[in-house]
Amino acid sequence: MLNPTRMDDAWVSTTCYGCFPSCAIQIHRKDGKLVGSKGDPRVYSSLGKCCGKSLARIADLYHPNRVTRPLLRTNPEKGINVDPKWKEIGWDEAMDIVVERLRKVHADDPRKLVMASMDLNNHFYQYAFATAFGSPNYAWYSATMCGGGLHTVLFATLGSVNSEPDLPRCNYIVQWGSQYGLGANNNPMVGIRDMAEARKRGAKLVVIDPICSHAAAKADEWIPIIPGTDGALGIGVANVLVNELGIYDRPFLARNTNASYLIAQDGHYVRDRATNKPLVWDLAAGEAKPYSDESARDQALEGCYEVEGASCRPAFELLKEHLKKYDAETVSRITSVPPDTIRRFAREFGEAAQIGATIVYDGHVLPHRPACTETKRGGSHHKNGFWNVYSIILPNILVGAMNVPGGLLGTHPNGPFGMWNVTESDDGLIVSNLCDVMAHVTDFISTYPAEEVRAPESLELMELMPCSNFRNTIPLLTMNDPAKYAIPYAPEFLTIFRFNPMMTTNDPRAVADTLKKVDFILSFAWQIDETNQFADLVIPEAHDFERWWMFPANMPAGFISPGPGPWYGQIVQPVVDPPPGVGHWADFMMEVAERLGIVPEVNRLINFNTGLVNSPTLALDPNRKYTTEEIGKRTVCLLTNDETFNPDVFRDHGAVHFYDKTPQEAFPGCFMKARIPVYFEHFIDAGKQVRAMTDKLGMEWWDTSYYHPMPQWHPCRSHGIDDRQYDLYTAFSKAPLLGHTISMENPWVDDIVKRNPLDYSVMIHTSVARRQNINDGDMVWVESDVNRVKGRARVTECVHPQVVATFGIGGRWGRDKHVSRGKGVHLNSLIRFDWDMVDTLSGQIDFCAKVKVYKA
Amino acid sequence: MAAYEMIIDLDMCIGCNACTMGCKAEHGTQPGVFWGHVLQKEYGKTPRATRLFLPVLCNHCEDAPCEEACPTGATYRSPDGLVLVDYDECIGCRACATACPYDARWYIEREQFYFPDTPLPYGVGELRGYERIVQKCNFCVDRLGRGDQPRCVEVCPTSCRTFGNREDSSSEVSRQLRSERTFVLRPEAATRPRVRYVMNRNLDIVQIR
Repeated sequence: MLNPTRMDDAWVSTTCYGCFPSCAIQIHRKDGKLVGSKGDPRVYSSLGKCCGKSLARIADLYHPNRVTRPLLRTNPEKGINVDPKWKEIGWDEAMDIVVERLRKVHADDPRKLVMASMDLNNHFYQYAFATAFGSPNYAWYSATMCGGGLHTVLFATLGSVNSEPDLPRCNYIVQWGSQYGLGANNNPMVGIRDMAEARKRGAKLVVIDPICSHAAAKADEWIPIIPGTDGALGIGVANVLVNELGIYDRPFLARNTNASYLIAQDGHYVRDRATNKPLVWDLAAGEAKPYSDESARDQALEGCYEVEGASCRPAFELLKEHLKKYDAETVSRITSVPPDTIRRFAREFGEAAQIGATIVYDGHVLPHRPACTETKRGGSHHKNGFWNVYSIILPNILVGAMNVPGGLLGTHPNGPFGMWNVTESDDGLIVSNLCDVMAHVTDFISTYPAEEVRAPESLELMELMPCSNFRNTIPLLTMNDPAKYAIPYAPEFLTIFRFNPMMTTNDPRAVADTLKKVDFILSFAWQIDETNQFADLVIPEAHDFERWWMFPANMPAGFISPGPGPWYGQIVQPVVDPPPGVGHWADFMMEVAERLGIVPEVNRLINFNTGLVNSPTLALDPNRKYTTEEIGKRTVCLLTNDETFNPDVFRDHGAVHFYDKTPQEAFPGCFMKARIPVYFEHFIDAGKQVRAMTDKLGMEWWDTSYYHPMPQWHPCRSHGIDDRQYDLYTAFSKAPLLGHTISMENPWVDDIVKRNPLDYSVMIHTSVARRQNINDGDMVWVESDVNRVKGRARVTECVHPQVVATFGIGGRWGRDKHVSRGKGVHLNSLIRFDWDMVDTLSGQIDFCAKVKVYKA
Repeated sequence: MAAYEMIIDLDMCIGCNACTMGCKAEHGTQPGVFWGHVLQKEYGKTPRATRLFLPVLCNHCEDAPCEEACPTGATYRSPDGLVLVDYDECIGCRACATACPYDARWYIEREQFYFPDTPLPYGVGELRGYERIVQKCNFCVDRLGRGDQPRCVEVCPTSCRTFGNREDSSSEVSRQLRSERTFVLRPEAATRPRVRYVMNRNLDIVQIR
């Protein structure tokens, strides 16, 4: 029954969730149907713009394959393309099945419940349910989207989970395996307009990528690189800056990093006996002082000193020496980037950084470093994820372009959200409270100081990765064989939604093998995809145009651009009614919670992690079941200091506009004292502890070789394959319309994409095609030591000569995927999925493969 | 009387196809029909290879060969210089499509929908029921009447399109015509197109013409 108030003609403000960045949109509703949409001109995240995917989402909503009734599996056999033989059942029966199953799991061992989704804003609810139930296994298990390597590095260096280049003040923009401002990445509409403005005023854009991506197509220079070797190039650039050009920001390194800390022969800090603080060498006084001693103004970065009879050197001196191993010629052999290019790029970058320059912002004189590198998935998704990402941003650290105008900015949800603050560790390094804040929402743990190493309890093995914060692919490996990883139970009940690991993780046969081992899979879905084909029960889910969300819908930890601008909070509210009976997955689970008798604990946790606990009038009553609508409205009231929810705010302004950021909120890095590590001293002990624990658990195979204090390039598995028949690497790129698997099934998206020459194809370099006698348009096999896939060749110069590539994730096989089935290629099928692909420091999974290509 | 002109800055276009989608959403065009879309082409050799994104649409030529070719007068020019099609007068002979140097006209043999059984409630219905006719971009004449910009201009995330009255010297279009070096596609057709381009900095004009 349609809500009569929705049978009108109105523009409704809400937030697009076609991908996670959450742009503010307005939707035109007429007679209970969606008839139009546009970016909301009143809200900063879109200012009236939105992307093609967003405009196409109406086709998702009215897709004839929408699931509208609960579906029960009747075929006990599970497998890729095995027909589940769905039987439609009633809602009550579905609820009974779930409750009965969960009761058994709860009585047996609650940790056997696993909840997996990529539903960012409703993740607080997943956390609350799983925790109240007694399971540590709740995470956005979104292997391909988020970066274990990336986020871990950003927490350590910017104190933030995400980063963006400060485009309005940057003159030399390096997009390194990333396309910020060019149709992918966070805050896309903000980024695109800032990038356009920056390029118009003459900023130089350099793109380092195996593929001539959309970003590279607009770049002043495209530097093709072999996938996964970015770290070597980053360190190589650092070497040219430091050892060949002498370009580095000495005062920044001395004050804002631990470059001046004295390092003893054993690799540890030399510490002050009285305070235990790391010592630095004060050149003026000619003696060692604690780094925190105000009088130590001239801290040595170079040289060799003697403290209490033992010789020691500043961390920077060690780093400088260490960087020499990455001379341009050596790096060139690894990365394929010519030495001249490495040297020229380093010089251009270093000179553009204008070391010493300042800028006046709102009365404050701040450093201005208008050059920065930025990376995302392309840099992170490698076996060496942590060090690869760190090495990519190392040039920023050396020239002082971190958290300052013109440089790389961390997102910092402070202001009205109060979610971000950076404090100093006992050793003076960055400790971000954002890890703790987000730990109440998801599975983040602090990256620094290192967590205590313990025997595993979580499927993520967070207990064995004390310096990581985000290990979201690991459960798909550990669930397959928990005993191997010393996990004391085997998962039995998996909920999965808004997440399609069969397509988005490596080798789907390995993922299928894991899914088959779980007794019961509950999927929430609005379409059947390759993953929920494995479900035992599918519960139809409301589209985000049909449901409420928490406020703010633009999760501030990622989706308010850093730098100057307003603080604002967007809403997600239903524009049209869902199909009869269909609702928010969390409302279904809340009823499950009620039947299981865990509502009081669920409510307590929701109160805690939404902040409702701070308001006596808004906090949830422990003994009552609430809907997502009620909770959503209360979170609006909480942040707007209103007694009751006022929808007029959103009708009249599109979003809640709090105020413009203060200088301290816009550029908090300029005002913080905590230091960025250039030397990860704590890795030494953390690695030893992991070694001791894994040995004790009989896991001698666990690799601890990544725990070293200075950046190194570690080859991915693919780089070590010496079978000469596999002479090419695989790589992927996002295209503006091809970001997520869900967009692939949109008929409007498909209609446009199939006309683009490079999309839906296997990009093969001209030289390879000539060698293999492949013509443009031929069908080809791409084969690795794991599998082979067939696709249409596009012979091109727009890919690295040693790489075959594709845009998006094609080659879908889902039985109900009428639009996307069989289009494009699924290169993920070629990538091994086992423990050898894991960066055991950060929990990052490697997406590198080596292949050969030949005519089909 | 206005003289509408569109300028597209190729340096700014990132090939995101928001314009293509916006056009589809605005007019509800059927599968395979794109009044406006973005061509992609690559140039150069690795590592100096690059890709051009070239948005194309009806050029609303002042000397429109389509208008001349139309035997029924279905294709006509509005007083503002828009080249429009009166679908009630169109007999679907496609002489206009043959005459158009820009491949901007789309013949509709049979009405089709993306979801055959459930036409989307999108689009304004301006095309519903018309078969065996030729369609094309109308510069969003209905939106212009309401004082709005064409949809492709409004949605473009980089704001690479400028649209306005070139007779009005204070308009942004006039300013750009004075300050930017613009060019037209297929100048040899000599149709005096009302869609002009600003060059992509990575490429030579001669290459893409």
